[in-house]
Amino acid sequence: MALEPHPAPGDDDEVLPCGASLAELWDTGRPPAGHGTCPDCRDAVSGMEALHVVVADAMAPGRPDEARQADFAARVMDVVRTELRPGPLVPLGIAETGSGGEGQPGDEPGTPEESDDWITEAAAARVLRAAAEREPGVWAGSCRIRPLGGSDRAHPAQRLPREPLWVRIEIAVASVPSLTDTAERVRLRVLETADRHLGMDVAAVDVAVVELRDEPPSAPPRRILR
Amino acid sequence: MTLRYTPAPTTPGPARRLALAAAEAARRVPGVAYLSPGVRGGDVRRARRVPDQAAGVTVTTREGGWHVRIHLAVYEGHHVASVAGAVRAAVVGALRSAMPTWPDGSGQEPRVGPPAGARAELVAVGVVVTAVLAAPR
Repeated sequence: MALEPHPAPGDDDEVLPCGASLAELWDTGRPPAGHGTCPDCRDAVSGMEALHVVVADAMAPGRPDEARQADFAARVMDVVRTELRPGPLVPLGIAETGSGGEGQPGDEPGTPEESDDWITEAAAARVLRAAAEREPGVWAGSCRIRPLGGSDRAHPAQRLPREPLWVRIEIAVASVPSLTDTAERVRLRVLETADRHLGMDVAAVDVAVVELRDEPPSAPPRRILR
Repeated sequence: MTLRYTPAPTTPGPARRLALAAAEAARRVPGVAYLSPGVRGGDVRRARRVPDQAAGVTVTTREGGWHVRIHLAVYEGHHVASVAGAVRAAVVGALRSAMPTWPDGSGQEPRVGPPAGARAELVAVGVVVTAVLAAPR
């Protein structure tokens, strides 16, 4: 399982009407300081607890394939967190090359030829982090996707332009013979996954080694702290 | 454009009809795990009792036509962009059968079925993948 990036207040967080970050509330399981009596926060906590009940019901003893569902709750919460901080929309498919990007004049809108397919950055980053972690002795952290040559920042909840993309992924690395070789293998894994599994037009991948760990490559996932 | 919680249309009418048709078509596409309505504002307790078959589909009018957006999760092992394209193609086909005659807000009950005189550009379909998750074993 990929490491979650270190949570930091982000401007693409889901924000409750009271201003509290829903993602942070989910992280802590309780309203932030000063929001103890806030009805929005209480509703959100209540909804979160209700989801836990639903998940617990699904895992109740006696259900078939009980063993198969051992990590069910963790996966549900992982997906929910992905939706809490979706990030910008990243284009799927091959980038347009000088045609204007939204179909040709005379094209029939709504046909499969017109590309209006997207993936949230959080969902794509989760897949790319997992790809990086298939390299022995690598733990993945933050993963950002932006237009190649564009700004490192993207307006929250906006769509990235339908252009070739650039990925920057941070990794922690165990004791390995060559950091350069490891980073290169991670880069290739990310590129291959973006193409073969996601269908994103990634033109460049930057791999940043942000931590060296004195532990065996088989050590369990642990969050990268910055 | 928003990824915040965007409820499917619930009032009976053309938008609701389009949303239901789109949802049904999208669910049938191999690789689609579920339609994803988002999390903010969703009432899990209510959803548990009354699941909305159109949850995850938004319908808006734009530039004189309908814009249908499907939010969904995809199973690992499928090419995500291909699944999104297949969903869009399936939904376009389904909506051509179910779309109302004209989204002009005239209050007239729309006809269902291939609309006489309706043009294909009345409907545009977009797909947003919100999660990629392990397929059930």
